Amino acid sequence: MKKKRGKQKYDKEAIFFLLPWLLGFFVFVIWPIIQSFILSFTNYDVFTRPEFIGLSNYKEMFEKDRLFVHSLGVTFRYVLLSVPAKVTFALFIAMILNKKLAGMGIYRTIYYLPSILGSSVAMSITWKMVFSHYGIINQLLGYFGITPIGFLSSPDLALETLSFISAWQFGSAMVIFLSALKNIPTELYEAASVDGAKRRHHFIFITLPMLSPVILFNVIMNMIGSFQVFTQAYVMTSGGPVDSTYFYVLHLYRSAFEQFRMGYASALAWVLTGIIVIATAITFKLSEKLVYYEN
Amino acid sequence: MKKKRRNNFFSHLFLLVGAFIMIFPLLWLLSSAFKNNNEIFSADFSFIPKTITLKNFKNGWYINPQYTFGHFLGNTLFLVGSMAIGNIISCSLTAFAITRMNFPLKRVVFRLVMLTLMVPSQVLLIPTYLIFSKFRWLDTFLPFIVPAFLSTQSFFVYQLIQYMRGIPKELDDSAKIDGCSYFRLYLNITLPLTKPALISVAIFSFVWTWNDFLTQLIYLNSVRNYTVSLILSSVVDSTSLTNWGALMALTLISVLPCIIIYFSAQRYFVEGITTSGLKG
Amino acid sequence: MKKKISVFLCMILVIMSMAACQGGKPTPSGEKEPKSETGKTETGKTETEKVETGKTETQKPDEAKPEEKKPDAAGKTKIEGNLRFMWWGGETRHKATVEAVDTFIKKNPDLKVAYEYSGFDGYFDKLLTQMAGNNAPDIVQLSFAAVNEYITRGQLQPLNEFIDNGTLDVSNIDKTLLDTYKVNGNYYAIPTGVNTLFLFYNKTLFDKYGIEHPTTGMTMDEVYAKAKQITEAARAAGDKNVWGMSMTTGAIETVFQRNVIDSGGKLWQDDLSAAAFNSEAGAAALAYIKKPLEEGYGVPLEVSAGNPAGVSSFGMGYAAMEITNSTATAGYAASSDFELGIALAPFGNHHKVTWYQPSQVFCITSQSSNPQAAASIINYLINDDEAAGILRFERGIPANSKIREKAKEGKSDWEKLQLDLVNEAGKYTGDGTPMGYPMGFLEILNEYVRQEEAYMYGKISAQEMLDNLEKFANDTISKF
Repeated sequence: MKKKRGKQKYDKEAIFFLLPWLLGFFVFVIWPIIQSFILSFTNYDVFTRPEFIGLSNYKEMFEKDRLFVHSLGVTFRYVLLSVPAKVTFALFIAMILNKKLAGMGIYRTIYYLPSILGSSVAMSITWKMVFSHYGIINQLLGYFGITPIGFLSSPDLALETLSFISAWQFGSAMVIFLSALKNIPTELYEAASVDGAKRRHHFIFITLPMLSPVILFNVIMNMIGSFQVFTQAYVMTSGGPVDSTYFYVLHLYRSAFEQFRMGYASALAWVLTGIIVIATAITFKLSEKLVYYEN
Repeated sequence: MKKKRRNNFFSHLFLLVGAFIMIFPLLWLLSSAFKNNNEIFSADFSFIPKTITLKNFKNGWYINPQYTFGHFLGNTLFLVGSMAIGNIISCSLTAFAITRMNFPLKRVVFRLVMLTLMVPSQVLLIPTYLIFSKFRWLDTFLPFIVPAFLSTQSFFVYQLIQYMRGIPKELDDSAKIDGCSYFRLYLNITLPLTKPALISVAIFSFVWTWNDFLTQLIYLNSVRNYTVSLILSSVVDSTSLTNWGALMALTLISVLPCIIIYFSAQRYFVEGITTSGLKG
Repeated sequence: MKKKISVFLCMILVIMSMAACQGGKPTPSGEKEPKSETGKTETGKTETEKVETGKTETQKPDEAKPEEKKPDAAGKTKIEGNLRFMWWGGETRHKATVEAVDTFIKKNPDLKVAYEYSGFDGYFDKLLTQMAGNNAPDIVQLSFAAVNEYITRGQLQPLNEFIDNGTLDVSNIDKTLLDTYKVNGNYYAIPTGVNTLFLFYNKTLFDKYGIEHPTTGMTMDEVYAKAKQITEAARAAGDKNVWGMSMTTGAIETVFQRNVIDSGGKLWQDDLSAAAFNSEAGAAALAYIKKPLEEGYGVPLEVSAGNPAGVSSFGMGYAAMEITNSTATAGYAASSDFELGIALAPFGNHHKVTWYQPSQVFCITSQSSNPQAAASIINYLINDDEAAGILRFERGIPANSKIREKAKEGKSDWEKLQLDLVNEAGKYTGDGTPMGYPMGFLEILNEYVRQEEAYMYGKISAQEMLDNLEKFANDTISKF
């Protein structure tokens, strides 16, 4: 087999290896994306034929749909509450665990455990009981003479409680921080100590800059996840009280599977995608000066 | 030196308190599952139940008039198991092609895999639901299993690509010289070397599917096909008083598989997070 | 070592999932269904169905016909086919319904029924999802308020054919109840039972503070006064966790409507084409609903909303009284730690307003391929003595007057008391009859719940709530 350049030689068998992916990609990714895009310009409601209605769905969101605007606000607040909390917890714990204490493996195991259980129905049920009016947290507070707090039942507190519950799952971010911390060359610290730097200076001038790409990564990954929060709100609060935990995806779910406004819900999904892309881009932009890349 | 020791002491103290907070809900769940119904919410809480009862487990196990809870565990295990297998096979095939073979538009394919990673599931939710409804696959496990066998979980493809890139190509070359076909190469050389990453894919797939709720809620209707998530949320019923002890017992049972998997395969969790999270 | 463990686990997983493929439960006769699940719908379906029929093969279908008195037409047709039956409820209703239908299947071995039951939350979403996916069950339980909407969507079958051919015997069902679902001369829904509003009270608490028990025939004002009294008594005794009554929220068609009528208004225009509650009467009704909260003898929302789902403040003994549907009786009687008392819900202050209404209805969907068999199952559930014995009051007091007569014998004290009270309620239904339900009522109900919550939490005023709700209701109704 003669060839001009080595790379020109193609492996015919590749098609067999790629076949599942090709099928899956076209049937379950590309086709749905196209369909969803088209649907977003229709009034499709499953029961009747879709009609093309131009940009009406998108207009309706911003002009008429009170709950769209509201859910957007709630979701943004949730992202702003939970992401910083989660990343800070993760970094903080990772720093302590990185001290090479005895039993570090056990701690790591325990701290990561909540992330395995995630926002499953089982954990949502458990949290709801723990935070209920007569639940264990309020009982404990009662010992200190504090009157019961409506963690999930007060419209002014429910969102904060859900954010806390999500911050509880900081495990993956922590593990990533841990392995990044291990990759920071110890010589850097040694050199700094020789120069007389104090420990807290180590953190500000060495650890943070060296970790900055990883921090950015964790922020972005968690942000994307937080924009799409659903199960906790669905199981624990169903969006209440007084819509205080009415998240964007809950609105999308209700539009699609309760009111069967498939066209409108598709438009909602695209707007969410746009928001996530923009939020990610802004985060990148803002962090440009703060993130230190080796090389 | 003395200072350091004191420092460590505080670190330990802090970590211990933190660890307690982390597993607090689980401890509460554990103790509640063994309590009598009226003790769960009684005003004087203690972690050790006053009377340890196994009644909750019995009630919970038979809470559904038609099926035991084992049936739903079985459904979930079937779903989770077949999806894990599907993901391992299909994603490793794709990753192998991308890292080991030459074909036209290879870079495009890689980019498309990455792109899929970014598409929010909500965009796909409605059209895929409509597709499955056309296929008449609603209320079956097919909407879960078929996509898993078609390599649609880009995260796993990506994870495997990252790992396979780290396997030296010299091995392939010598195998190829020996006249090894790509399939043999994939099966006999690459896969065994990728085992840690494959296990990591399997357990992540396990845990995520196990905890999933939204798609199961949408695709599965009849009680016969319910998964653990669905039966739990249906037991929490607003129209009648619920048997809370039994619910706690079931909740406990349903988090156990994930916890067991986690404790026995911890290393691979860490591996999975770090390879996909950092090397990229 | 760890590697080995994980490989081992993976193997267990595979083996277990293979076991799961084989379709779970052994048949009662002990044999296991050999069919392996390839993931296809049909295989999945037949599995359970075979399980159900497997045990009864020896019985002759003919002698097992449930309705001896039924006209010949139905008596002779063999009831067969695959059906799906969907309802919502709690544990006890699931058990009873499955048992009743299984008994029917035993007599008709060619019939196979798959059950789809769940809690109330999300039930209608699920049903709509299935209808949209062309995957609807044959028999569905609906709330009386939802029927119209499903008729409009063309999702229900008229039942006249089955009433005419004798499959469905409605001769003992209260005519007014039945006619609620008559659209263009067609029947679409069969009421399962009736319920009314009860006043549940905690005898233990009343006795503890030496306050006279509430009785049937009291007015709302009198009940509020009692609630206040018991709250004050509890505070005086240092008990901070007792309130006079729990708040009944989200009840547009019962409590809100009754209060509106009592204040001289109505919920809808007479032809149900628009809302009519945005009036002085509406505002008065809302103020009256919130009164216990403002005067401190209603259970605060922070307390009740924080309860785990399904646990009411009354059930937990924190509220001395509760006004809610009579169907709650069985649950409270079975599970509360205190002595339970029930009375008819209080009358309005001006009118003796109370009524009973269908609790739920059974309907056959237009997607059903075997409506004949579906009708015979419904017939069995509403007319058969045996079924009535199993179902008891799970779906309200039976709508069938004969069954209700018979129910007096041999039922528990609670059931007798319920029967008496519901009969009593029947005497007062004349004064302020509730209206029908406009199109899109379910959506309006959801919006009511949402708006009322905001109002109760003090986020909006009563007038704002009425304005918002009126606009929403009129928009919704005009969509149809």
